[in-house]
Amino acid sequence: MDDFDDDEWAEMQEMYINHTFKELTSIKENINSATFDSLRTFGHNIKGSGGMYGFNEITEMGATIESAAKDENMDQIKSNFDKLETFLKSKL
Amino acid sequence: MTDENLPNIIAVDDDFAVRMAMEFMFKKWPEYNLILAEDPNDALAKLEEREYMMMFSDINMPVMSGLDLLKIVKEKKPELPVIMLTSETDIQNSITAFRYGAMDYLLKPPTVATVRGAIDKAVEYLEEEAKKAAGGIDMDDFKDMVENFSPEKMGLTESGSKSTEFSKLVNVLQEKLIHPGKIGRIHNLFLLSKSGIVIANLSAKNVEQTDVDILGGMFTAVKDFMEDAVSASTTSSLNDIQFGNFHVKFASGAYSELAVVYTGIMNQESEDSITDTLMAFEIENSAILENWDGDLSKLEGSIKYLETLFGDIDKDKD
Repeated sequence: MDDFDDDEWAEMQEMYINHTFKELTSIKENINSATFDSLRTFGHNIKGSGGMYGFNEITEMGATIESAAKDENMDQIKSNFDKLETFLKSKL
Repeated sequence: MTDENLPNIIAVDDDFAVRMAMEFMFKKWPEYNLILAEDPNDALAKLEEREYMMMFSDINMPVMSGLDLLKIVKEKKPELPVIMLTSETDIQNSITAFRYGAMDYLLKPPTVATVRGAIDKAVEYLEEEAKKAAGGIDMDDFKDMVENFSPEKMGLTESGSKSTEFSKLVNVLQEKLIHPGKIGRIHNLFLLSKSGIVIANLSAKNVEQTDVDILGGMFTAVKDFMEDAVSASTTSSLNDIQFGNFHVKFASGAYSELAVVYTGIMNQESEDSITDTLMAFEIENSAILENWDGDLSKLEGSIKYLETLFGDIDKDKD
């Protein structure tokens, strides 16, 4: 992002990946008690923030999760959580 | 850690990514304290803890939306500038936010430029509100207006007395507001006969004494010339001639003239004092002046008029 220097940007990306991974882990652990609305919010947020931190893949997965939550399609949500987890681990 | 002396800005967003971006942005602006809130309830609690200059708020948040938060905040703090953060799909909500009193909205993701622009806009708004609350005016704009005001440019010089009135107004405004420290520093006072004889003269301290007789003759000649050539466009109720930084202001009586050499700007009160002094001199000495033969001994006490006038005009100066 042009707004920040390289060091700031690297720090921000690292913090973002760490935070998103923690959040995803927590959601996956509590998936059975989660509401579709909370899952939709998670998908909506990472859809917006992924690209903001230079990770367009996260934005795409977030859009899919948000859409699946609206459709109450748990299989598709879980499938995308796995994809997201793999991606985040590759960046840790 | 926040500096209690700096303005506080609160940013409310349930998305960690946005809060973190804001936090990094504000590292560039140490002149503000950024307080982050994770949700509207967190924001409402933090809003009670200290005074804030402005608020950024997401719209789409669980439990309580940013619009509900905006409504509550505006009821409690109607003067607080609030900028909503929204996605492209929330445009309808942005319109609602304006109705609820939001100052503006920013599309997500927020950038350094858009956030900074919003802060500057809020600062400008608050400054304007402060001026209105103080019943004040923008002095810079007012100074520009007065300094650029010109009866000539406005075509007022042809209307005679109106021009004089406007000129007085401009002079008063300038002396009070534009150059309050430069009001009429007197260098010399000359009381002259109509023929140019110097009846009395007074010089301020540190002003070089010159040949008063030569000056008296010069004043009369210059004044005669100026009365014909310049008086129609003078900006003063008295005749005023400028030589470089020096001005000579003349008051004309039935038998005599009073010339005041000064720098800076002569205020209206001083002009009135000049006229009053000359009138007092002529009334009190009318019997002598009516048939005066040029004998200065007959008007020996005339210096007192100049001393009084000098005191009136230059009372605040050395």
